[in-house]
Amino acid sequence: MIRASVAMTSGLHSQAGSHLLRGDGQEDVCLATYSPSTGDQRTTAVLTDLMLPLEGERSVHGNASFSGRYVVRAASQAAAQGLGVALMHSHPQSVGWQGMSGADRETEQSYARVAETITGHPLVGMTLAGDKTWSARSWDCNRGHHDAESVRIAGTILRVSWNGTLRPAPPSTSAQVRTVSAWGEAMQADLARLRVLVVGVGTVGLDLAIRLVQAGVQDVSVMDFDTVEEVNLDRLLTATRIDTALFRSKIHVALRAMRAAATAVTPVLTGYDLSICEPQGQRAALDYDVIFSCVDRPWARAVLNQLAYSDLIPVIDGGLAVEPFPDRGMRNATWRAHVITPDRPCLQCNGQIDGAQVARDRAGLFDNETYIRTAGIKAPSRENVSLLAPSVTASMLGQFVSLVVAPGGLGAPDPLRFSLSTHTLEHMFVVTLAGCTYEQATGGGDRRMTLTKQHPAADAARQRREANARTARVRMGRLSQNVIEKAAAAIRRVWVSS
Amino acid sequence: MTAQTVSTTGVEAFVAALEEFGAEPIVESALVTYTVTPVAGALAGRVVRTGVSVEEVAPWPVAPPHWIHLPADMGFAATNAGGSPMDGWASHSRDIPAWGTAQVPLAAWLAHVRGVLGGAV
Repeated sequence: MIRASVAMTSGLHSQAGSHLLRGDGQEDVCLATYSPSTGDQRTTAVLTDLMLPLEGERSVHGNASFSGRYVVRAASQAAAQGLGVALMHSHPQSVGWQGMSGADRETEQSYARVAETITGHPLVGMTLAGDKTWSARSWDCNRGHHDAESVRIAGTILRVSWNGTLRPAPPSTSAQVRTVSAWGEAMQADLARLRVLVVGVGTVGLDLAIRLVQAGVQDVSVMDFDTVEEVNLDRLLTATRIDTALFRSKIHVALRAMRAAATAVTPVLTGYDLSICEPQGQRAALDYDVIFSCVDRPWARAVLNQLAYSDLIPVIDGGLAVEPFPDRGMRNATWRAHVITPDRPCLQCNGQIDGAQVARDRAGLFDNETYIRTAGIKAPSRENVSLLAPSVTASMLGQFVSLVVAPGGLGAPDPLRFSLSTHTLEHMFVVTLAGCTYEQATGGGDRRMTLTKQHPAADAARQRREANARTARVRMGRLSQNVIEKAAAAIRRVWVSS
Repeated sequence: MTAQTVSTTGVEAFVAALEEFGAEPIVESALVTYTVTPVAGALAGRVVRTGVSVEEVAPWPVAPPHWIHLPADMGFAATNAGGSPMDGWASHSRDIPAWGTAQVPLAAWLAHVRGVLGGAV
């Protein structure tokens, strides 16, 4: 069953809240347009604009009612832009995720066919409770409604309203006591339910994934198409020489480490042997609430940068730059971390990706040794220092906690950069450029620009790994390692349950 | 029931913007070709038909194309050239600087192409 969810910017949430939660305590109603965002397992209605009622289109009398003319007007305007319609109303005296009253159900059902006929998209029904918790459902005019799992509000603070029936809070465990004590049960229940994807499980990504499952996040997935190599062993946590000899994928190593570290009762850990630049990779990413960008190539970062705005999935990006002196020795090292989300500048405005390099990378030129040699360019930097990588992890986790937990109610900061030589932490006061095409496409959902395509380097990496794994030596080695890993998992399960 | 598709990105948007700028776009042989008039160099003042690959324009305007396709008889003092799907044409590797800073992406793109053509010999 495909899951349903709704997402909106914090700006649209405030605007809707101002209209629906009236000073006089009466219910109210309004419409909004949405763009679908279609993942593998989840469809999200990404709200684009509110369409407030005009004079005579609705009346407030304790409850609220509205005219069919209002729905037809909104649906026609939505259809002209290829969008769907959401019908919103308030329950000012209630708190938490709302069910529907008989009247709510009848009203929404009666307009479901009109909205779908005009727009071609299902009607989305939404309720805003007095405590600003949203609830939502999607209507099929023949089969009735399908409750959403969550409503996500993206801004400098990520707020998610959860449907406790479809997505109950995972029980906290004794291993999480100290984490829970930092921000309380309610926050832990919200944080642990987030579906988190880590794209790129190299030095930083693997460390992050382990920390997330240790903190009790129930659904953590990893995406990477790379194979563990000898050069990764100086920094890839838990990877061994045996993994390189057996041509293990990075996601294999990551999942093994995450299973061992998870503190949730029923962790759900998934690995994608994909690049985010491939259409299947992007589609899988649309199932998540937060994404960590631990990739260094411009194309992959551009794809993630786009999803942060078009699909309202906050992306936490970070990186390390080592600056050597020309004649050897280290001049400086800097690391950055930033949350890419509405109300914060995108990676391009922040100077972290350059469109020309995105185009080069997308054209496969950074993987083309002949081109690199002929053009006399330098391939993207590969310098990495394992002793400094945990600082990047820490900066990114700090941004994550700021975004989700919002200590002091402040949310995610401006982009941050730490300079090792001078030991200074800088707040980068970056603003969105007037012509920023990423941020202009906020809420675009499936109408996003087509940055993804077939990725020959990812294909080649997977094929090489498969070919290497065909030898009897590797097959036997993998079989033995699998048996040992399964035995370790079984011991862990017995130990934990006893 | 199928929703109406409204595209403001990709090839359609690139072609629409070229039309707006009077650049006479044509989609042919997997290229979008259009006209530019360089203001300097050997081709100054001459209307030149140039092109970009349809596949490279798919993410327009978040990412610009990289290769500039031109008739093979147009040479440059220094270039990194590749093939082209158009018979008798070649492509030239060129980075556009400071992408994303312009208010109108197509104006920035045409200025870049005019600059590249200004180096023709």
